[in-house]
Amino acid sequence: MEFKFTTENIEKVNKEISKYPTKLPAVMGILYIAQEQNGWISMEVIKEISNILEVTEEEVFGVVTFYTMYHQKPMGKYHIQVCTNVSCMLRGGYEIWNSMKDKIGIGNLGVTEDQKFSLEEVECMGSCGTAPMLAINEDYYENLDKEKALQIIESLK
Amino acid sequence: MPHFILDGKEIQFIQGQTIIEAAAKVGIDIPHFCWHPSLTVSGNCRVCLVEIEKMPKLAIACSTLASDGMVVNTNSVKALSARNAVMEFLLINHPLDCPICDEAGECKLQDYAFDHSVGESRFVENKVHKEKRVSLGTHVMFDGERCISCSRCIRFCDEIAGVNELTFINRGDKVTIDTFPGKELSNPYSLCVTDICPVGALTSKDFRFKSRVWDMSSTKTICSGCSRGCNVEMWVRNNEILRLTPRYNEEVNSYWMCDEGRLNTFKSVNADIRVNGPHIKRDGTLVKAGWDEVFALATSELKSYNKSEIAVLGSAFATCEENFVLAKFAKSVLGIKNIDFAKHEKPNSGDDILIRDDKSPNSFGAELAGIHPLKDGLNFQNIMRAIDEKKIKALYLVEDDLVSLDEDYKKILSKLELFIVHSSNFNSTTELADIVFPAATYAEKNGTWINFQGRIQKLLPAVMTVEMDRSLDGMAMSRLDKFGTEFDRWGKSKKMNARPIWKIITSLANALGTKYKYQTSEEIFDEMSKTIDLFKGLDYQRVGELGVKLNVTTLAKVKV
Ligand code: SF4
Ligand code: SF4
Ligand code: FES
Repeated sequence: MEFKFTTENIEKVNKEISKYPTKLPAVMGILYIAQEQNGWISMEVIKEISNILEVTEEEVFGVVTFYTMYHQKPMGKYHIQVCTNVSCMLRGGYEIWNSMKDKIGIGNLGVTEDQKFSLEEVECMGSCGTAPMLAINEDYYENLDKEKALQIIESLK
Repeated sequence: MPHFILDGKEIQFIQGQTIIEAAAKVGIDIPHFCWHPSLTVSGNCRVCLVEIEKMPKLAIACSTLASDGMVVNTNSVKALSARNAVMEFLLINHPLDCPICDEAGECKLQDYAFDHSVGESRFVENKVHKEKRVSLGTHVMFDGERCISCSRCIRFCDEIAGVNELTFINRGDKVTIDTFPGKELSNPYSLCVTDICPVGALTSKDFRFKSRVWDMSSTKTICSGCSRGCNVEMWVRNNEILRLTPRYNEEVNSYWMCDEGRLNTFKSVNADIRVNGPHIKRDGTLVKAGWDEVFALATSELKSYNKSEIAVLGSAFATCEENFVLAKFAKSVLGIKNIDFAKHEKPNSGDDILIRDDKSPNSFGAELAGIHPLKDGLNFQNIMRAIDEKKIKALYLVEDDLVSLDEDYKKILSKLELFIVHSSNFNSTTELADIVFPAATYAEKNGTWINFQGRIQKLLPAVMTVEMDRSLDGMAMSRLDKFGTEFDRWGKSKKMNARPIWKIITSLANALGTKYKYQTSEEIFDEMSKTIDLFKGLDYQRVGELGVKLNVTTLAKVKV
């Protein structure tokens, strides 16, 4: 399916490009704008961005696969990211991660059939002081334990 | 000239050269994986770390500029231990499948592991596993586990082939090489990535698992695919050509060659349809005959035609020497004027990298050696017309499949009363011939070709005919050639009963009563250097491995 930025987002894209002396560095910001609009980075998104930036599809593809925050497939309405890196791990990160897997019934990078939840085990999200933590879409939930984490999931509609 | 000290040796350099470049220019090889003299610097493998006096940390030789008075050590304790550490790091996830890896024997990782690492791994965890058989395109296979992420292949596609076909995907220990989904590595030079990949991650589908590299001999010769004349190594085992690889010549092909030349030029030498021994047409089919019988027949047949009824066609695939002897034979023994050769131009098939429109390796040389119509003689087109009109009744053709050029020639050539052909393989042209002399291929003889730049380059024999012996004739020898016996599997090699054109023409001239004394191709070259202005002062020695550029301004005049 062809991908085009909305008029509103085109403006954002141009602003992103104007920040740098060459076009290529804008690729990361623009990918993020695309992900907001499309939910994930499809091959069509990559093609469109490579057209806009006048770089090859291969270059954009390399960036997309390098960074984990770009989704290479459609994710759930609630994308849950659980940190299991050192600080969180020491304070029960794995317990939370495992309970999420059991509760929702999917594994790393899995998506539920109703497209409501998706799950991802992630590296440090910069919230070590309040470990363990998880993030749902853009929001952080900190100082967790297994019960609190489960409660949060229950409350999601 | 500014200079620096490398391991106690004084090295001169040009401002702007890196340490590794300056060292390479004087033949000192600082260990490297990602650096390649023809590609941009990427500096990611770190194996080139050297210690530089007065610098606090080790520096990579591939991106550090040389400066006057610098003192560089590649073998100090610090430099050595850094190199060992890099090797240990690279080997952590390496599969170490050398015993089944095509690269073994010419692998940088293997060589440096031998030179610079401790020999034992401290890594007890599980290795990361990746895809081992990824087809990246028609010709290239990728093994993700062997890749050391040096990015040479990516840079080759970007910078030399001019297409960004490969990229790194993923990161950390999951990083690997790929094309964009749905696309392929398909540039016409794709197999060059297998040459520059420092490990066995990229291999040629055509050559995969064919032979251990040390079991083949390699001969420095020239590609026959087009008038570029890329310098190549020809790899032979059991008297069979198994692969061609490009040989560095900055003036001609740098480090590269095209896939077409690499894959499709040598197979006819190994083919089953080789002409093995002279053939004569009897009752409509070609049958084997003895050399003497065929010489006698050719002589008496040729004598039975008027000079104006005979034409001779040389060949842009034959060597200068062969064309020279043929032209001389046509003019002074047969006494004819209708001499020319067919061009093999494919318009717009070339590019501005290497590939040329002229699909023959020696059209320049053929002309220069005297293959062109004499005054009042007919050129190629007119010879074909005259055959069609039955004015020319006898045609002597060497090493050219005319019917492959144009199907219509079949009808024309079948009007001939006498058709003598030198050919290495049976084809639709030899079908029409009355006499077929078995021609030694370009892989089975000495000689020279002149490329489109006017550069004269030397062919060396890599494959034996029945009249040759690998060791007595000074041909390249592999381990198998040196230590094998005739009872070994590789001792029973196939050899063709074939001769180079000059040798056959020499016998024919003698049979017709003119004494030709040529014993080697080199003697003919020496005669050419005395009679052809542009060749003055040249001999095989001077032509050497990399060829010599002829004086092109004069060449323009020679073009008739
Ligand atoms: S495939 Fe070979 S050339 Fe390409 S990055 Fe890997 S090791 Fe380097
Ligand atoms: S460019 Fe021409 S000479 Fe070079 S490898 Fe290709 S066909 Fe052979
Ligand atoms: S050769 Fe210098 S870093 Fe790879």
